[in-house]
Amino acid sequence: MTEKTLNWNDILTLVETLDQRELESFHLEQPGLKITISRHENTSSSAGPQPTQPSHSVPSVTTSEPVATPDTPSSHTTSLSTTATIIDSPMIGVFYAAPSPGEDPFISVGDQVTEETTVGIIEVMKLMNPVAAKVSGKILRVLVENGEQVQFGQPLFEVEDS
Amino acid sequence: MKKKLPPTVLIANRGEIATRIVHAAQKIGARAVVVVSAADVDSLAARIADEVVTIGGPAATDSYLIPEYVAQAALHCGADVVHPGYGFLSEQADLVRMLEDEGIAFAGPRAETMEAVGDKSSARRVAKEAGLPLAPARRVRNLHEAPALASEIGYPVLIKAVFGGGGRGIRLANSEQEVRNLVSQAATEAKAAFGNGALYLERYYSAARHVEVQIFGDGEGKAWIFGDRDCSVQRRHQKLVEECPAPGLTPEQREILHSTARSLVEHLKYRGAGTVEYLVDTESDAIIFLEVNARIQVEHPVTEEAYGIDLVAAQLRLALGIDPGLPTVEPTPSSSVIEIRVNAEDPDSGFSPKPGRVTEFRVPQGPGIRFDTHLYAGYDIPPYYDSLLGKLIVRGYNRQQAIESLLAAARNIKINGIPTTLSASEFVLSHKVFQAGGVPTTWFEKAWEEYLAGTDD
Repeated sequence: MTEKTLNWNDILTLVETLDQRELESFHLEQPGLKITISRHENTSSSAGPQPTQPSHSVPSVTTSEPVATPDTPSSHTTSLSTTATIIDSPMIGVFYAAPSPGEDPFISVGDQVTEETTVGIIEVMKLMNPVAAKVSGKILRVLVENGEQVQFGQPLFEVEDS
Repeated sequence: MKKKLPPTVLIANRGEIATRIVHAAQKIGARAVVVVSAADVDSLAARIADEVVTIGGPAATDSYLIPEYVAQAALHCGADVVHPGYGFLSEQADLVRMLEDEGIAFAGPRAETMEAVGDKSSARRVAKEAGLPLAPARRVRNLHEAPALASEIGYPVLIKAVFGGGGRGIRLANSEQEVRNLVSQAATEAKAAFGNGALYLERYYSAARHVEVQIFGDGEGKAWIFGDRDCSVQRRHQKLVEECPAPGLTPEQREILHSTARSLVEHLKYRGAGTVEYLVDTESDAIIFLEVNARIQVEHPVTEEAYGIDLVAAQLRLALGIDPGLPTVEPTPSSSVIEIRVNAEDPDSGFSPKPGRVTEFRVPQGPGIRFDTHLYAGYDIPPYYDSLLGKLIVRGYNRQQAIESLLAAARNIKINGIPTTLSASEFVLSHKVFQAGGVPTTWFEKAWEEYLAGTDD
C-alpha cells in the first residue's frame, strides 16, 4: 500500500479538530484529492448550496475528487456533492450494467430511477446479485464500466436527488 | 508449481491475527493483501498490507463470514494462497473447495480433513481409529444395567441421549443411587425430544486441565509435534492465559499426548498447522481426547517462542509449495513461555466489552517480550467484533522467570482510553495457586469470585 486516501472518519476527525481549535478554514490538496473545510457558509466553489445548513459553530465540509479510473477501484472514493447521491456497491464482485451480454444496460445517464429500480448486477463467485438503486432521482453519471471489478462501498452511479 | 513472483497472500481475517499474517507474508517475500469490512478500512492490518480489498459491510455476517466474498477477493487480487486465520471461515470446507476450483491454495487442512474432525461424532470415530484415548463410555441396552455400567466407568458419569445434541438432556450422576433415579426420566425425555430413548453413559471429569498439542503436517503423512500447551485458565470457556510447555506433566503423560497427536496427523495425512485438545484429569491423571482444531490457534505464539519457529510462515510456505522451514530433528522447547490475552473488557463490571478510542499505547521492551496486536494510538476499536486487543507473550529460562517477567510487562504496558483485562491477568499471574502450576479449568472463575468477595487469602 503506497498512498492513503482520506475516508469519512479522517474527515470527521479533521472537522472535530478544527472545530476544537476554532480555526477558520482548512485546505488540503494532493494528487486525486482536494478538500476544503471552512467555518463559514458558502465558501466552497463547486458544490453548491447545502440543503440543510448546520449551525454556525459546526464547520461545513466540501470535497471534490476526480472520478476513480476503472483500473484503480477504491472503497475510499466517495465523492460528496450536496445535490447528488451516490449509489454504492453493496458487495465485492464484478459489475454488469446489463442483464446479459448484448442487451441494453439497465439504466443510462438521464434515466429516472426509484428505490426499487435495478441499476446493475454484481457477480460474486457465479452468483448474480441485482443491485437496487435505494434512492430515487435522475442518473447523472455512471462511475463504473461494464465488467469492472468493484469493492464494497465503491460508487457506481451519481443520482440527482428528486 | 508455476508461480508468478512474488506470490500473493490474501488474508481473510481481521484484528491481531490479520496483522500477524501480513507480517509473516511479507517476511517470506510475498505480497500481502488483506480483506476488510467497511468498519476495518483503518485497521492496522489494512495500514501495513500491500493492498486492501473491501468485501462487505461492518457486520461479520456481511463480510468476513461469507466464503463467496473471500473467494471473490482472492480472484480480484490474483491471490496464490488464502490464509483464513482463526475463527470466521478458518474451518469452512466450502471455502477450501471454492478456492480449489479456482486453483488457489488454502493455508490450512484439506476440506475432507475439516469435515472428518469437524463434528463431534465423526471426530470421535477418527480419533478411535488413530488410537487416541477417549472418555470411557457404555451404551445402555437395558435401564436396569445402568448402575453396573456406571461403576465400570467410574463416577461421576454423564447420562446422555445417543441421538441427542447441543448439550440437551445431559444429566450428571455422582452415585449408583443417582444413576438409578435419573436414567428412566432421561430415557423418557430423550424419547420425547429426539424420538429415541437410547442412552449412553460417559465418564465425567470435574477437575480437568485443558492441555493441547501443536501439530504440523506436510499433507503426505509427515508429522511435526511442537510440544504441549496448557490453556486451563479460562472464564466461560474463553482462555485467558496460555503457556508452553504445560507445567507439571509426567514424562509418561507427555509421551501419551505427543505420540497420540502424532498418530492422528499420520492417520489423517494432516496438512498444515493444527491442535489436538485433551483433558488431563487432576484427580485420576487420565488423559482424554477432546477435539481437533483444524487451524492456527490464538495461542500459537507460546509454542513459537518456546521452539523458535514461525508457524504462520510455515503454513504459508507449505501452501505455496515450498519447504515449510521447520526443524528436521525432533524439536524440544528451549524456554518457558506464557501468554496473556488482553481484551477490551472491564473486569470490574463482569468483563463487559467496552470498545472505544485508544488514546495511548506503549509496550515495554526487553528480552523475550512479544506483543501481537492490532492496536495503535488513535485507533477506534469498532464495536462489531470480538474484544481481543492483543496477546502479551513473555519468555523465561524457566516458568518462574517467565511469570515474573510477564507480570512486570503486564504492569508496565500502557493502553489508555479503554478498559482492559490486564488487571485480571495480573491477578492470575500473582496468584500462588497459578504459580504452583496445573490448575483445572474451573479454577479461575472460583478464584476471581473469592477475590471480588474479599474471601481469598
